[in-house]
Amino acid sequence: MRHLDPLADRLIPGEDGMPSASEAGATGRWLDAVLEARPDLRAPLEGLATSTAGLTAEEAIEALPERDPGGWTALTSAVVAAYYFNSEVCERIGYAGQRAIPLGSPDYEDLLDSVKSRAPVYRPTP
Amino acid sequence: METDVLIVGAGPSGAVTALRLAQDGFKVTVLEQGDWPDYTKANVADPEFAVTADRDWGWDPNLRAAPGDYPIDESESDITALMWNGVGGGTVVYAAQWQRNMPSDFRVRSLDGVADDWPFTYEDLEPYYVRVEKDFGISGLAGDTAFPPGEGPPLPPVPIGVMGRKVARAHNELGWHWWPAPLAIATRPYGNLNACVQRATCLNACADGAKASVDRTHWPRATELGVNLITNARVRTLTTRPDGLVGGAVYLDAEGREHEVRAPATVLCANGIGTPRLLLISGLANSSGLVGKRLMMHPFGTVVGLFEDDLGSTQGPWGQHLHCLEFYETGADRGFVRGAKWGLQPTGGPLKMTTAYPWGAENSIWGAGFHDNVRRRLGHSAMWGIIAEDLPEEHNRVELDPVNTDRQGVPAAKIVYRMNQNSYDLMDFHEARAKESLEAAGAYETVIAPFIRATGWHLLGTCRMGDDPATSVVDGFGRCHDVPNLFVFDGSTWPTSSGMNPTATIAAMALRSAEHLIETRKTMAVAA
Repeated sequence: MRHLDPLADRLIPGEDGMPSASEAGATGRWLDAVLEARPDLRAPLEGLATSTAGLTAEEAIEALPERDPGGWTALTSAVVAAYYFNSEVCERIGYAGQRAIPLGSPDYEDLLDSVKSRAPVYRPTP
Repeated sequence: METDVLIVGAGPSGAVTALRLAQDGFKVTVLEQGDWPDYTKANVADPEFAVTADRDWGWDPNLRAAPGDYPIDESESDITALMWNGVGGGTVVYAAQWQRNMPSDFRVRSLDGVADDWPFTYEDLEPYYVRVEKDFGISGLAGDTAFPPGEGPPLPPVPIGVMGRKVARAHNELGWHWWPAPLAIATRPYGNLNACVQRATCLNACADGAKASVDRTHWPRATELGVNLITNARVRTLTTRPDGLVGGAVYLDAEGREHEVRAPATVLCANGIGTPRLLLISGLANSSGLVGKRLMMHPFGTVVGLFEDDLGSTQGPWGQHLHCLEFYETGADRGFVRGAKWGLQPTGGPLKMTTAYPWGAENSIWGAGFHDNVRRRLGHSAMWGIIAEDLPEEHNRVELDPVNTDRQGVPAAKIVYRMNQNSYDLMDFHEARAKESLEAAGAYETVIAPFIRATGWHLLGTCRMGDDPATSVVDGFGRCHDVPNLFVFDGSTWPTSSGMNPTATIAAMALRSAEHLIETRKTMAVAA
């Protein structure tokens, strides 16, 4: 869906050592992966070609939330998801995914005495 | 089909009731309109889960439109009603914040001069809290100064983490309450549960098997004891005998075939919307006119703080790391009554750093500065979730939808719910205090999240309990005043909403009521 490139790059520009959305494949291979998981997003994304016709990317981003809320929601969810499907992008922001991390040891005991020293915060009832 | 007790609904109250009755030898049949959760769709370790979670594990039945769902017209409601219609009920998608009610929650009229007292006290319910906490495998720490002394849950609490330590230190300096969080999340292997591995997907199903949803903690044991759990069984109506007692129910299977279950006693566990819907459809138990009235849904607030330090908040129990009940009780000079509970939560992965909730439209992330803002938020943010008590008002209600039906022709539900000024004032106060909390903990920036509708996880009050049949639907053990072999054991019965996540109290009340049903079975009027 290359018609999304200008919109996607307006949302996620290339800066700060990070690629733009289109450079990262968020309108290409990674968007395909998103749409494989969420085929229902394809139609609203395709519809953006119509709802943004004649607008610059800047104008489209400004207008879409009201003009085409379904397309806007699909754009901001699918393109952003596709961007972070790219593992190189995630590495650059230090995000390793939702990993299995065993719970650590108790880390609160040194802080509890202060709470215990204060009055209870409930009202006793009969 | 004949059975000793018919239960409608396989969520937490249905599960607790079915298991307890089966342990005492009752022949139990359960009708559940949905199906078992399909955890093969909870691919929580894959990036795809970020885009499939809301579709496959979403909370809104109108958006989900699964076979077990029914439409809810919310056009006259400030809050969207959320639920999971399937085995496990709300526990499949709850945050597992296991909060007992505080003593004052049972004495709101006596202490604060508003709403109503409950027909029993915290002390009456406390032994049942202790027992259900063992059945669910609750984690937490005894000695919380927000509750009377007593036995704590069976598992140790989750670590409070970097964010928790910052907030705990701040609250100690402020002199404000906090305590390690009580959670229905296992911190060690326990029964059918595995230890939590902190993927922060609790709100969209726990495929790791650490969250105590009753499809894991109760239904396997109940069905082993012989409970007949029938899924994809949508109750069309409760049946009434010539003597006025309830005879059981007629249900539709997935193919639309009609079946009847006959039972001497019927227990409704279909949540604060489903239960009044069934009673209104069946024309039962409503001499008080209160069936469906006094709907309470807990307005919800969120305050986020941004920190320089890495908090590790992309993951963790979600859930909550700790809770604060400093402002739970009514304050004399605040201009409103009652209060709220706060839970300190992680904020999740990169997609959640870009959404309008909780960050607010004024903090839109798009365009120049996008990456800088993601880096500032990701792993460096913590948030307070605020559960506000809303008072019961008869104009807030569940009705039958006069036009729409579910996919099998059963009348749909409509809710009418408006927040009152007490709720608005209460939320403003609590959000301001939560902001102070995060600032004291070191947040260099805070965001009070915009109000959103989709927070009606807690559906309460629509079949109010009480001693007077003129002003209540059921008695203190869930028995309908009008129909003595018909019971309501879910959150519909709450006279007031508390400001707590309700599952702990729903479960404890279900156990208490089930045992009362067992004790009184010999003298109970039963259907012929």
